[in-house]
Amino acid sequence: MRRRGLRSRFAIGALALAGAVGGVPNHVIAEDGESIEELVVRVGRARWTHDNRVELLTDPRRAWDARVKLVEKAQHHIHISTFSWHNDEYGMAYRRLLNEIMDRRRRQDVDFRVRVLADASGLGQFTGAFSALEREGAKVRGFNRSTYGLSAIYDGRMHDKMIIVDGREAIMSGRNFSDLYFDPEHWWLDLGVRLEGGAVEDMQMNFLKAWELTSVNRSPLSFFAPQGKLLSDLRLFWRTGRYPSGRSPLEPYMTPEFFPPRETAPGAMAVAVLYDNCLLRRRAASTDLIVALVDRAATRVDLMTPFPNLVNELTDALVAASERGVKVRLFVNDHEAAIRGGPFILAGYPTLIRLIEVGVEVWAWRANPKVLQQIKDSDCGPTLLPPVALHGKLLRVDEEVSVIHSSNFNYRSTYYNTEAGVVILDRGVNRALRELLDGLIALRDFEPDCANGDNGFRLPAVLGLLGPEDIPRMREELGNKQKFLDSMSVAW
Amino acid sequence: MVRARIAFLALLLLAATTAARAGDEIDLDAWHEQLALELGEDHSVDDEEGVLALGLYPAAGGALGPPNWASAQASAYISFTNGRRFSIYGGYGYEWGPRADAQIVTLGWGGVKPLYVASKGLGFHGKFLRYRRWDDEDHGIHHGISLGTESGVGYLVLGFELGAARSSRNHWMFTAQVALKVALPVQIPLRRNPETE
Repeated sequence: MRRRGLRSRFAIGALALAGAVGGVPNHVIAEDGESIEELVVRVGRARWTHDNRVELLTDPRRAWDARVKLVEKAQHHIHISTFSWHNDEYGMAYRRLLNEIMDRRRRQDVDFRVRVLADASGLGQFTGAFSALEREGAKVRGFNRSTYGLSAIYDGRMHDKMIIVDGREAIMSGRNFSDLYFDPEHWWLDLGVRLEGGAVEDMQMNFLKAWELTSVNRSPLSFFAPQGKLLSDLRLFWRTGRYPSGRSPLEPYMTPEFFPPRETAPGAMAVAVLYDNCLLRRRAASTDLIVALVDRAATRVDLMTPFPNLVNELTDALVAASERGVKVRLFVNDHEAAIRGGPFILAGYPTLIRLIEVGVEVWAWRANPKVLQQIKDSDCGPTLLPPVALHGKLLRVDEEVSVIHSSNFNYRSTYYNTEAGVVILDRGVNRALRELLDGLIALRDFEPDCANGDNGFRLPAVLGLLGPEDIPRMREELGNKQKFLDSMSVAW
Repeated sequence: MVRARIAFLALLLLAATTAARAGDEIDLDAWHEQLALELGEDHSVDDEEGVLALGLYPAAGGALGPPNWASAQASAYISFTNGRRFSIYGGYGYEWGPRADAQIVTLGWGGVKPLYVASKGLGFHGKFLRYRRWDDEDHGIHHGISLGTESGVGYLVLGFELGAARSSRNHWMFTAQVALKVALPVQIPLRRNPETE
């Protein structure tokens, strides 16, 4: 009881801001005359929609609530893509919720559908969860479950995370379905957006194409066809909505129930939907866009990724930005908070060393369950404990451009995964992300004002700034493994 | 006393603009034509422009599964790709096992391919039709057919295979193997890669 009172006085919590934006910004023009919008179209291969309402989801409790509220609104369908769906408290709670919704809605509308597209590597692991959904009438497909040799076993992990409801509202994020993303006592910091507006239409089309593409991949007959022909057919389908025969499995979805007309604009924010799929493009356009955005940064670049074994072009761009005076900050996990250890940590060291050497601020997250326990034991328990790792993937450039993505911007994301994200052109969102990152850094010197008078308590080091003094240690840990790590970067 | 705040921001932005789309139905072709107009004809896909090349793929390792349950295998493939839509490979190999030895002839789609990793690398991917001439200690010569896939990253190869074989005395053997091998992928470009020119 006492702790509850203390928590209310602790200032680590969710802060909600509301603001409004004006018209579509179109004034970030590079020297060559190309605007940010044009750059996103050309390099990111994504179009802009300007009628969007966007809510940034960073607080795990808010992110969970938003997911619950979103699917509870569903009248006709729920579409979900995810990398993994765990059989833990939150994973099972969301599954139960979907079961209840399906049970309720299908009494009114037998056509009500839940479609779940999951990565096949996770599908086997989480079969129990998906079977329960299927028993209630959901359709579950493994994106790469039975490609019958279409692609190599290491190719094509489905890594995008979307929830789309009735073609009207959606959440796009880096979060899977697991306690790790939503449990306020033990959470990974991740990012996401809730969207309404034209961007949802593009997300819906991407989901439906991926859904139907999966259907083609499941045909045993595809084993006997050359990969080149199969890929060519899939690419035509993605580009035009039709296979070479002229047939389109998308036609049944071309109804107002899947693509509702938008009589009024939900908002006025400019959003471009990014999507990458190695079956369609060898290299992710999103990564190329990230590189291009860093290349044209004038004052600031902030990048967060849990796996900083960045593609070389991105590391080069960050180095170049730093050298021309741009303030570059990178947010990653240190040993103590690593989502995956061993080679996953070491593979990022060459990038980190290069960036530290040119003066990039490399902030390493260090909070872990042990640190959290120290905080809990202090009687200074906050309303929201700090995350135990960073899992967010974001880029913010200067004062206007923000990218929130599922991509880690590393080799696996760039060449082997499906990924999805959004570019948001808005000063408010950009500022909000900056405040989030500044807030994380501020935790380094955080001294909570404990109600029990224990004012000597200092928050244990939840993050630190890696500097030149860390390089010898990193080089020593890396040893002679870099060649092997580079050659196997498809794995991490 | 410093009171820092973490800005976990939920940003709700509302503004009114004109409607973006009218009409009840969405026309599939018109939708894609509009997309192509906005993004360009090849907006969402790339036709890979690889390089005309030969590949060599010697490999050796072990396999688990019937009929031998544990066996040693060695093989050598040669592959050919036009760098775009066509890639084929074939080769010869041998299997040694406690129950039966086999000569192996493999033909498949795929071959040695560039691997997109931090350093320049090669990989392998193929789906194959395989003929085996089994020499079974108890039941004599069997002729077998199997289907499978192989994926290689650098020196490591993982293969899956399913098939059956029949002897002249109508004795059947079934093949269901997982193979793990080490390989030495080599690619010999037959034409310069335009990207490097």
